[in-house]
Amino acid sequence: MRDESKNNGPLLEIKNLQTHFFTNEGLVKAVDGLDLEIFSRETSGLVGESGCGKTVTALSIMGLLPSPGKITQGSITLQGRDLTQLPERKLQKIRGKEIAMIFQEPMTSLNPIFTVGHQVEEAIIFHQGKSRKEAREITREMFGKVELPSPEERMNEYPHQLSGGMKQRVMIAMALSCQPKLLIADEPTTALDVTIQQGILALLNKLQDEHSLAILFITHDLGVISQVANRIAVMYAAKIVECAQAGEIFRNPHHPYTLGLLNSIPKIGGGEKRLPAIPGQLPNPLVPVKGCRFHPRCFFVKDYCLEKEPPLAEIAPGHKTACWRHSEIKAQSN
Amino acid sequence: MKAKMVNSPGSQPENLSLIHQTRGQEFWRTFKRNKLALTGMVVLGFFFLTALTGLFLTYGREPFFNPRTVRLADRLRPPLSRPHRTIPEENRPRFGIYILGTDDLGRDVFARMLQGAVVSLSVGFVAVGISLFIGMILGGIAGYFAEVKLLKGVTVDDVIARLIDIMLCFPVFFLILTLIAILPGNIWMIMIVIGITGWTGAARFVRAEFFTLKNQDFVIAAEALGIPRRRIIFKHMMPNALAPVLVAAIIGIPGAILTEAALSFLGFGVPPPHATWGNILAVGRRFIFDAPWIIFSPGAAILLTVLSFNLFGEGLREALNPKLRIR
Amino acid sequence: MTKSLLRVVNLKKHFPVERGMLSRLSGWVKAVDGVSFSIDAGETLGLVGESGCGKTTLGRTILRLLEPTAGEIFFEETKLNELSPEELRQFRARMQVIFQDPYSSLNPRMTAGSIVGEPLAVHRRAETKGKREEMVGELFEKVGLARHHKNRYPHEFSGGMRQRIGIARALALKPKFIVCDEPVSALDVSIQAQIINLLQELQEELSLAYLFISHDLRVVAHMSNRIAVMYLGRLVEVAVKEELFQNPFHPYTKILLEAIPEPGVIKKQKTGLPGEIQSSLNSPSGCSFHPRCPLAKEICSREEEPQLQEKEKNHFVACHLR
Repeated sequence: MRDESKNNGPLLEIKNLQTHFFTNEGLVKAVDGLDLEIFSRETSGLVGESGCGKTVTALSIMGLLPSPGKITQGSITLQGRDLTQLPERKLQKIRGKEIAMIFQEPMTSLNPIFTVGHQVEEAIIFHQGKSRKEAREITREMFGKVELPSPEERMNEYPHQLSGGMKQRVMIAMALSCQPKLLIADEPTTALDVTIQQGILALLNKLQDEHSLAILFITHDLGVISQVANRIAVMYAAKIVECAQAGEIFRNPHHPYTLGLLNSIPKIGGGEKRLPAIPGQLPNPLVPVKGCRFHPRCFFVKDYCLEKEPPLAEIAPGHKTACWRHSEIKAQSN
Repeated sequence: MKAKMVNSPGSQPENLSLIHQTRGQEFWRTFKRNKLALTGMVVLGFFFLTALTGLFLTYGREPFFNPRTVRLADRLRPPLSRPHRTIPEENRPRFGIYILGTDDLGRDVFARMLQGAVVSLSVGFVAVGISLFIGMILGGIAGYFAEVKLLKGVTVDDVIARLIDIMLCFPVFFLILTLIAILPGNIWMIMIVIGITGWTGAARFVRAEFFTLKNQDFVIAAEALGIPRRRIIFKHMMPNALAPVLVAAIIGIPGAILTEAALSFLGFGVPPPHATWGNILAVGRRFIFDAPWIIFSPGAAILLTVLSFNLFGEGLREALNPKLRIR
Repeated sequence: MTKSLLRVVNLKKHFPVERGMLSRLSGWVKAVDGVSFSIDAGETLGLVGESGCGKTTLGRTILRLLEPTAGEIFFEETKLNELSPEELRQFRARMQVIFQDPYSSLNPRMTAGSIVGEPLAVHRRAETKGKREEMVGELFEKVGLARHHKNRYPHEFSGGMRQRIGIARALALKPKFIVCDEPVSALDVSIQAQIINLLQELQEELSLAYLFISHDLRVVAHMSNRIAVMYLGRLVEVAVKEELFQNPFHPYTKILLEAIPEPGVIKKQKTGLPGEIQSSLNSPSGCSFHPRCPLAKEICSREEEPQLQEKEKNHFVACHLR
């Protein structure tokens, strides 16, 4: 699947992205040299823990960075256009029309004083210049597509009348109403119950096939990502540490962080023995780590890991990792 | 044992948090960014010093600046003018000039302003202190014992909330006027009356804070640990409810100062010959065209104090607001 | 049965719903509605359910942090319902609670040391102040914190370390039973495992009994000996962990098990459970799960709410169809 799309080149290409926050406490490099390719018809998973920079990556793509955040270096290329160089007016046209985003909290993304149908119509009118009547028609169709029960009635309801799962479906309908090429989903199921989560994930998979959509799926949950992603990038402390096909990441992790994350998830039927936890705390973004970012928590650490930062290097076709000792880790994990 | 080592973050280098500073430092950092609030604080500092000077230099039998000396030869003299030669030596102003001029009885406006500053600021603080005291007790009771039933399903909270509503219905200024007219007029009575009519704000803030705090996990944890109720209220809840109340209090002070000034202006305030900003203003009103400096001084002082308190209070609110903090 | 550390019989907690100016009673939220179970010393009972099913309320009601509407709670054969407020306050030393949110569970205006030391002082567990400090230091080390962290304030710690302070506070009075209310849900994956291991080590060392509440079946499965599944204020299935996973009876349990996203196991195109969790305000007639149940028959809406019955040895299910 990937080889096919690679012929056409990636839909979105991020090169050496640096997004920095100039806070009162000091410089926070929220994204520090990130490379990522997103292909059409593919779901790219971006996995990482809180504060690793995954949401900032998404906001950098959307051009929605809150102050004091700024892209200081690098490029984000969407089909030949570098989004970091575009003026705000042009970005506004791309946002919502070519790239759409859904968030963790569907609650706060919807305006409580308008019906959900009206809000989706407004988005269609703004981006596509359709009449109210046409917009209403499209909205009805989209509500059906996202499998909202009795879509006609739902359109006339207010956000508080819908459950969390239904609100997220409305958000998906709104995001897809303008036929975007790329959908960024930032922890879309984290606030939902497992049984509801399952439905949303299945819906995203279905819609991707129907609309030949590219999805950037951001989550902290390795279980969720394996349900949707074709390719997975693992992020740690503002950088991607490993990136490969979904199956490959789970079968053959080559970075000690990926390996540690996989091991530290409890497995059903896994017995009562201790979980092999990753020691230590998440890194403090204000204090840059010398050498490899992961070395203070790494089981495989050697002297040279403290000195020099490993580059994200291709170790097998389509499999990149940023670790000096990746070959030994492979042996360990098997 | 090995597993223990792995689990212990103590073996890691110190990596405690984003913010290696105390709450005080953090507060100051946010506060000093607000230049207006900082200016307000400086101006308030100036008025505090003035009031302190006034307290030491205008009271007593033979004060350094005497606000009571009447000099009929020097009526309505403009600021920075020299006294008339007929004025006896002991009645001449200090430094040989009337810094802010004189009023219709030839009294030194500067000395009277100093004395007035003492009255205004102490009325502000004491009255708001009384309001806070009443408000925190009633608000705390309403918030903590909200669900306790009294009679026929009426809860403690119902009673106090209705009491607050009733207080809010009164036109407070006329209530104060009535009370002052009945009661003996002295400065303490004015403070008490302003205080007991102004507690509703503090009560509402504390009540709302207690409602949220009561369901916070750390309060439930304290209860689960068998910590006595008194200690939960005073050690765990009250300190966490204070920040918004403090802000409300700071913003409440200028209100009390204005009320006192208005009362004195109308002649219901602190009885003469004691000077207050309000009664200096009242005197000046009659000579507004002949001697505008008499109303100018108290007017400017009231304006600046009230404005500074409000700016300072807003700055405090911003710096104490936990939503603006990084966790 | 007499050996159980904690025994709960037909426990109910209903919250009144009031409407309008005059607070007229308009209904009841049956957050916990007839729950019975027991926990042995040193055992972990896992409690799973989706948000709003009443699991947190259940945890708080059995500690009498909320007054039960009906039912009985026995702790080592002491009937908790009958304790006077002062007796209860003394009794609280034996049962503790750990919370989900490491940010709201610590008083922001107290140092870590005084948070952990306060129960020792209130219950007079140390003769002198120096001895109390020593005990606090030992507790800090026990949960993997350094002694010098005592003088720091909660906001200076990360989420995982704050959770450790919460655990030290719960251990201070040497309880026999701890309600763990989603203790790792708010933590990052790599920190979760550390706290889970810590809780297990402490359990073995101090022979603690846990009621481990979580919405995450993977975590519950790892921690528990037995698991209780809760839906809308009632237990629908209780069984030994292995039995529950191999042989789930209740349709809701089955759906929950299928919905767990296992890393690396690609189960595409699952549709999940139709509908959303009902409000416990207007629970439907009959079995409360029948509107979402894929196997629902006529009997499920007609008959009474099914009761928890022993279908196999130590395997309890509340379902008409089984």
